[in-house]
Amino acid sequence: MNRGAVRAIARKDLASVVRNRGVLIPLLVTPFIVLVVMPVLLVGGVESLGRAGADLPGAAAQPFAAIGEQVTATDRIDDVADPRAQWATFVLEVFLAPLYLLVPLIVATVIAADSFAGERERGTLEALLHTATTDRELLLGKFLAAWVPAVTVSLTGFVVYSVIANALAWPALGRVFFPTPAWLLLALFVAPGIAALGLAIMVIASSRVKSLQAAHQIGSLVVLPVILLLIAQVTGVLLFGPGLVMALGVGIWVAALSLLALGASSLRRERLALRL
Amino acid sequence: MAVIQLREVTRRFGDVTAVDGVTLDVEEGEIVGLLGHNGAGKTTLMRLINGLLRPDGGGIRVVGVDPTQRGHEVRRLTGVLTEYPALEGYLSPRENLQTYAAINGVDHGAATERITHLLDRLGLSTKADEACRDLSAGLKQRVALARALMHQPAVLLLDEPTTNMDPVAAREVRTLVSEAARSNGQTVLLSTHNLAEAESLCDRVAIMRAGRLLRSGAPDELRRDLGTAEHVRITTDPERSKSLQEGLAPRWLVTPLDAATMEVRRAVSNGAPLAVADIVAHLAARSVPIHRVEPVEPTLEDLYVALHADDPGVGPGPGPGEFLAEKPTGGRA
Repeated sequence: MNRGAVRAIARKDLASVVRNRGVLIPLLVTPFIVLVVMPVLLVGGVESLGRAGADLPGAAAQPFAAIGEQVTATDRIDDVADPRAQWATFVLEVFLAPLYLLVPLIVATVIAADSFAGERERGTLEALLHTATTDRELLLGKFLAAWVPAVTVSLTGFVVYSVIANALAWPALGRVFFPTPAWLLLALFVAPGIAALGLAIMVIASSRVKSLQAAHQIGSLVVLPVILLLIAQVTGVLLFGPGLVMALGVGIWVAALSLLALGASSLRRERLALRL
Repeated sequence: MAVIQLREVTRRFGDVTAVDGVTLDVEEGEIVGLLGHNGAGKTTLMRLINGLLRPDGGGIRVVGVDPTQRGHEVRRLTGVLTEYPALEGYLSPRENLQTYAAINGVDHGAATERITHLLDRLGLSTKADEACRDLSAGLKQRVALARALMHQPAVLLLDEPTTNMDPVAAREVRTLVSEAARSNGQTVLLSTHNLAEAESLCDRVAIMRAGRLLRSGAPDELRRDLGTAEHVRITTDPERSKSLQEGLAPRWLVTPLDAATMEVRRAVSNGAPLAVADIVAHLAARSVPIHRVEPVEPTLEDLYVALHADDPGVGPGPGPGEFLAEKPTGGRA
């Protein structure tokens, strides 16, 4: 294994992403919205939301009441009686958890699409295929170029989110409550796994599509399972606890590694060269 | 032993045979030019040689290594200039070269020195740290060539190396390629549309059409195959040019090039050498002054045109239309 070549490929792809505002901005916007804007709006505005809910007549107030009931029913939230604290912990611990998974997933898929399909579209892939790298080194270099930033952004986002979550919940809880065990598992185990899963899907997809646009379309489909998780959370069908998060993580890693193995076998030089 | 050996190499894409039974040897330190229209199979042949594609038939060896079995070993021996520069647009020329030096396992210190040398040699020093996407097409092509030369490979596969370059830069590149072969012993296989470039730079040329290798050999050798001069350029006094035309008709066809110079050929071409002495004697007998007689040798372009005579868009050329009928060739070199 030529580690220098792997590092050089990863560095080159990463530099291309960091210097391309068209790619970089969406990568930064998603974590900012999910991990900063949404908690601030949902929790910071809880009092006004609560007041709004209380002041609304009839059916319009029901969603707010329903959420409150659901939170209480789950027994998942810390033993707090204050509805404001219940709301804050529900949003910060449960509601935003699936959305957090979007961060590594989107970062990984956007970079991977650029790295594989984008490189072919720009015509730079051929030069790389003509080098002495093996198919495995090529795949590993490109994998690291997307996986390392995805994990870095999601872990940094997790740290930022932890600070914001504690700050937002402080008035209601009066203590540091975050990160919870489920979130620690989510950030340290599931997020890297889901980044790898997104990447594996993009590797397979990119070896079959010819344009960056087509790769992005497939990438956008990858977020659908996360949306389903979100719905499951909100409806109370499936609520994130440490056990569930661990099971989810194992499932995601198994799927990621299986698809990566499949992707590695589909990423053959000749297959790529045929699509130049 | 030939550095590049191709034996009956065939590659098909569906119903299209992109490379059809090509046999060719390229010796160490030799510069061989692949000539052919777009779609002739030149780029596919280079991809086959470098192990990016597998042949459907035949065999390939590069320095004795089979690219279908040990592609990455072959690619360690080769430096490739692709048809398009294929540079990382957001990286500078220096960064592009650093990246490919690392990918090709060039030691950091040696790479820095080599990059400085190549940037300087190719006139890129002032643009070394600008993003490649902001460079002109010609400059990008130079960076791509520097990338191919970066790790000092034994074999250079150059696809249209002087495309988009101004004449000065193109000449510098030709000098560089020539040096690579003459001084460093590197073997060069280059594809080009530029026949004059092939004629001046290449030890041998291989003319491809529709995947088949029509003919290969030294440019002089191929010109000789085409035949000796079938026409001659004669310069006389401007006021006697009319006498010259009248004196040679109807046995010879005379085409005025300017007031004093005429191009003379047989009225009916038979492929045989033109008897220049007969023409001169004929004119002398009529007291037509002759200042200069210049037999016009067939060029590589004449050969190329002759080999593509029945190709739509390519004319049969002035003289050697009979060449194909006389010397049919297979896909061998």
